[in-house]
Amino acid sequence: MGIELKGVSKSYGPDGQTKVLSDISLTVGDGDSVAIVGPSGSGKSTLLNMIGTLDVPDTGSVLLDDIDLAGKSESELARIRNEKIGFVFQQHHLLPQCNVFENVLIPTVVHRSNDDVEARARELLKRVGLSERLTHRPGQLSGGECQRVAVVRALINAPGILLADEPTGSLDRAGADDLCGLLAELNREQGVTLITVTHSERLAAKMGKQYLLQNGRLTDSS
Amino acid sequence: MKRPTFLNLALRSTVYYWRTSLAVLVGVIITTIVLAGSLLVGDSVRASLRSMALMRVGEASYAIYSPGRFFSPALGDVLASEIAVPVATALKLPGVLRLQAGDGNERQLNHVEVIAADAGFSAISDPAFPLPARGEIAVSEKVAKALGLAPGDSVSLRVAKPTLLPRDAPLSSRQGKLTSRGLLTVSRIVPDEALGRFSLDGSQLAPNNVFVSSDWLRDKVDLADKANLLLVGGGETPDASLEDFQTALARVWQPEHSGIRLSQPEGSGTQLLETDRVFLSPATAAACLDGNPDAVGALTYLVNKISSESGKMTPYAFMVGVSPSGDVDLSPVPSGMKDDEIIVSRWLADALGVAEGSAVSVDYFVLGPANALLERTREFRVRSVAEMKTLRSERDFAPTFPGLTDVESCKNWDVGMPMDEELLADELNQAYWEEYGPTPKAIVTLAAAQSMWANRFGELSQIRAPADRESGLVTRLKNMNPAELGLVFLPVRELALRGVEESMSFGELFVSMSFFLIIAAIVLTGLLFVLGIQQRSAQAGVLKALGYRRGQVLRLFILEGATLAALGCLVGALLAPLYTQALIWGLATQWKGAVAGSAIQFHQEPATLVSGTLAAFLTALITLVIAVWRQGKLPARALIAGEAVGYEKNAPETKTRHPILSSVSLLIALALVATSARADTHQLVMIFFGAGFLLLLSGIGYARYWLKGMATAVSSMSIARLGMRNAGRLPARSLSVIGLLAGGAFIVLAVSSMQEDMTANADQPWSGTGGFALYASSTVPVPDAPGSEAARERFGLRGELFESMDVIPIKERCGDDASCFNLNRAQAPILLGVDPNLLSERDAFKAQGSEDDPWQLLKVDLPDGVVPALAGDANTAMWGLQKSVGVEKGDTIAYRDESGEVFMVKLVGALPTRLSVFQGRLLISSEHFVDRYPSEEGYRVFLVDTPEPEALRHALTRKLERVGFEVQPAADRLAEFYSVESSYLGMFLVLGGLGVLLGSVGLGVVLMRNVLERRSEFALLRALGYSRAMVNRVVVAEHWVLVVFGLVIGLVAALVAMWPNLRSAAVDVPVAWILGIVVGLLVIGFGWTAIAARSALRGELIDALRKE
Repeated sequence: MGIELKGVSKSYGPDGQTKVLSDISLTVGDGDSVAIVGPSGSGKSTLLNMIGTLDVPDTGSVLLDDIDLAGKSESELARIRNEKIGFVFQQHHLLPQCNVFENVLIPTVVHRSNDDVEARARELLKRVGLSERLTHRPGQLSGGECQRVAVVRALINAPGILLADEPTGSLDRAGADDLCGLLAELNREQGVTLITVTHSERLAAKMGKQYLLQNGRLTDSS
Repeated sequence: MKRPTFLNLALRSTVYYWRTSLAVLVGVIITTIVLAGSLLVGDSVRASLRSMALMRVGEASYAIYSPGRFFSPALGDVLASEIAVPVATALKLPGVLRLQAGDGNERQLNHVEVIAADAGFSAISDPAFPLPARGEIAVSEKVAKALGLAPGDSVSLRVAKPTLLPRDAPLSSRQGKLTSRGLLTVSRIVPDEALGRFSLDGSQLAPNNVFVSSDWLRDKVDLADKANLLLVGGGETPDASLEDFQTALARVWQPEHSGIRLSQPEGSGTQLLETDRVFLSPATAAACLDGNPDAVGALTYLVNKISSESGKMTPYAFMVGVSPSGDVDLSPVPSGMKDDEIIVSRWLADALGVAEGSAVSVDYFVLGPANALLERTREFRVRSVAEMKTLRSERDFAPTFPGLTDVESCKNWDVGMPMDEELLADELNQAYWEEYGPTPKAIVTLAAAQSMWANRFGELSQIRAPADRESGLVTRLKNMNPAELGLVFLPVRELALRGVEESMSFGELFVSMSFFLIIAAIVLTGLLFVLGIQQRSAQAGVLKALGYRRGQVLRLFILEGATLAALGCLVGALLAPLYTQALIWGLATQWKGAVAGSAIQFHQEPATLVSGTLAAFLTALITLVIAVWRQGKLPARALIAGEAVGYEKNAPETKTRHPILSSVSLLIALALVATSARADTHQLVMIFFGAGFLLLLSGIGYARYWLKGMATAVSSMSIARLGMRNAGRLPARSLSVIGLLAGGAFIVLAVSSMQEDMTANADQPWSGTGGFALYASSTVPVPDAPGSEAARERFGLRGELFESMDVIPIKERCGDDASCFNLNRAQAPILLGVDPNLLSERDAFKAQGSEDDPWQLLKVDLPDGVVPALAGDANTAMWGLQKSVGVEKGDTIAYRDESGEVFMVKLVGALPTRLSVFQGRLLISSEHFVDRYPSEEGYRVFLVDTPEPEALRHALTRKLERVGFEVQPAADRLAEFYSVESSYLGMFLVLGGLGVLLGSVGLGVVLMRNVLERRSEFALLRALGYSRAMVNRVVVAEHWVLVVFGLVIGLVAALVAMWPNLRSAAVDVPVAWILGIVVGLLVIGFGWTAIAARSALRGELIDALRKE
């Protein structure tokens, strides 16, 4: 799924004193993988949230597959997030009350399709090496395993875009490496467009393109 | 494994977060228990009242009860054969029961209902009612308990001895005994369910019933062949309607059933119609005379003297007034005789030395207000002199006056008027009596007679008609409707059940009394739930990020809450009956006054339990929805970032909005206080309570405003200021702390200050005692007020103690007690007949400092014969009757007078005191009273003023013990009424106290949660160089301000609400209790703060910072 940002700006605070993003334009092709790096507070997560429809730009527009998100209702945006976008956060945010299998299927609860999502969940979990842990609760998994479950959850509805916000931020080095590899592989295997915000050079290096966000400006640093 | 559903997810969360779930569950369970349990108290009270109502009427559906007008029991027999439904008759009279106890002391029970039932009585009882044999007495459970009676005991029963012609009537004997006494053996104790509680009065309080043989009672009171109670059975589904029974009664009724007799003196062609009540009722007169030119009316009277211009006189002479008629057999008054003319007998003409054309004057007594006999004089001119032989027929026609015409000597005359002993002994008069008996000494026209001697008992003593005419009196009497003589059926069963249906709803009462407890439980439930949800705010954010719409996220949480609410309600519904039983136990032990000591049995209607549970479910659900609503509004990124807690501070639109509603509340409160200058004492309490409550709401609203301001205020920092800033960080949470404390303090303090001291100001005329020291009631009506000479004579009330007393006598007509002792709704309250002038002169019961005289309202002339009435006090109007009062807007109540005629009583006002000794009664003027109920002889209620109340109380009780005189300090009577209110206050305090206790748990939860989730914040302060003590001070400062704020708001609002009570000397403000509550709440608040601070600062705070 293609992504296009046109002249996106965003400010915070009273009267918009704190400018976070300034006239950002970006085009990501279908199946591409992109890393956005930059110092803390540079607006990486804000940019990712806008692509993920969790935030809206003050000016400019965000287009997914040439469809402008501006003016979409909350419900429409929720549907887009559910069907076309997968999220992976720094924390896995799995529901502790549900087991691995159920956590993965959480996105399928709201817009129930006739697809055999249970089979897809098993397949994806097998793919990430967790086929033996389906009935385990998050509390019984390692941090890396939880994050892999979160990745599967993000992919369960076969989205066109996978957005990862510091996905390795809470993992140790080994776990982080595992996850980096997994994301890169899934990008290729699933044909999903991958945008990751990270401080990790190792993760960034595995992406097709790298951009640096600094002082509100996005520059190609590949 | 399957894809989860919303319900799966909700259930998983419920189980996983079991601690939160359990806490929420407990909150919902408490809410359900209190709500449904309170409503079930209503079921229990109503079911108990219903059971008591059915016990008191037995199987009777309809009844005729005419206390002062008797009829023949044969009427019951003929009616039974006509309608094929069980019919019972009885003679029911008031009495006094005495027991010579084993300890040598005599115990006396006044206000006993003596019932002499005829055979049919068994048929209206299920189980059967064995009639006592002659010499036996069966007593109700209540009487047995009161006197400690057992079968075989010997008791003395003194019973009222009524006369057919009421003692108040002119020419009625007032000298005869008021009571008659007999010794009886207790045969059995009559259970409540077997007519032991039999009563026609709409009250759940059992009467003091005793049952005796009808032969024995009729012999004792000289009322052979008389009854005053007729019951028709049939139970729940009588075979016929009220109208059917009334029609059947009219079919079988004969004049003699009502004591109307037709006679024909030997050798006379004239039929005489008379009654054993001496004076014919207006209905009888109309039936026989209207349109009947053949009949004439006559009125006979005993005048004090007839004198001539020369000064000669004859004392105590019978005179008769007869309608002029051309038929000399009927009337000695010729057509054309004028009303100022008199026909004198030869004997009188000789005695006075008068002849045709001479002037004579007639002195006679008339019945004035308060039964006073007033002497009047009327002048006549002699039309003719009748020879004694021509008056022979008048002797034969002379009516019978008990105590007058049936004695041998004038000296034995016993009439209800003062007679001069010397004149009674007049030899000439005695000679006349011996020779001519009751032959009238003079004759006037009927019109003249009626203008002199007509009275409320009637204006004819006889009707005469030729015996041989078709339009005879027999036919006319047969066509009379017995209803016109007071024989009117009342649907007693229906009235009893209506009284229960319309009774005060104890369910609603307990719900309102548990209001704060329910609020506390709900707030706690909401708080716990929202705290749980806030803890999981990141989950909500992730769900949104995963494509859940806001509504779906809310649905998930609400489903979770609904599951808990449903479960909680289910458990609560199972436990609610236990709570009900605990409250019923409270009503039976601690709060007896609230139900006037009535035994309340547990009863539950499934519909009530279901509706109570549903109400609790909806309440809980709404609370939970409100609690999660705010969470649902937060954006996903804020939720994921853990900014849900405290996010509200960034909402600019709520930051500086002025609390308009709070200002409006404040203004209304001030306006209410401003209007209080014109309010009376009772209104003052309501006004200030309302103002206090509005102030509470306003204070909480301003606190919210202040908290938001604190969160954004820019100023120099200090530890106290930092604490206050923190308090403003989460205004909703802080506000719940303030609200719980303020509400709790307000409820407990305001209510506890309402305890009044009924003895304070009891000597003032504006108080509920009217300034009278004693209130007395007599079981047997006393013909003359104890302060009168006649009463002093009758009861031997001699000596300074009795000379110094001042007594206001009051007439009483039985009815429903509308006081707070009666849980049923009174249908026709007890009527009291008072002389408004007597009370007005004393300023009794007038509002303090007011010129308004409520007694004048009783003299208001209302159209259509409507009788003006005052409610006994403000509470009677507001609660007992739930009616409006006022000359214009006052409600009316239908009554039936003694003749069976319906008349309306309008509530033109109420005595201005909240409570008075007249609670539950309607006061009408004695003039209206005797007009409607002429047969209600004497007085049964008395207000007594005396410098020596205690001594007089004992003396009066002793001297008048044979009429069952009960005297109590008027303040004690007020205190008895107040005991009901006091019980309500007690209930309110206990339930409110439970609410405060529950509220304090909520306070603790909030404080603990507040500090625990901010450990990293405190760690930061430590890292910035704050000592542990300083951090502790920050925590304490933050919460201290909330505790103090809440208490101050509650205290100020309560002080306003309490203000009239604080100013009033009559209110016993429990200062120590109030201080205790304030200190208790402070301790609770600071206790929780200290515990919270200690928990938050426990362990290595820096670890918390590191985790952050």
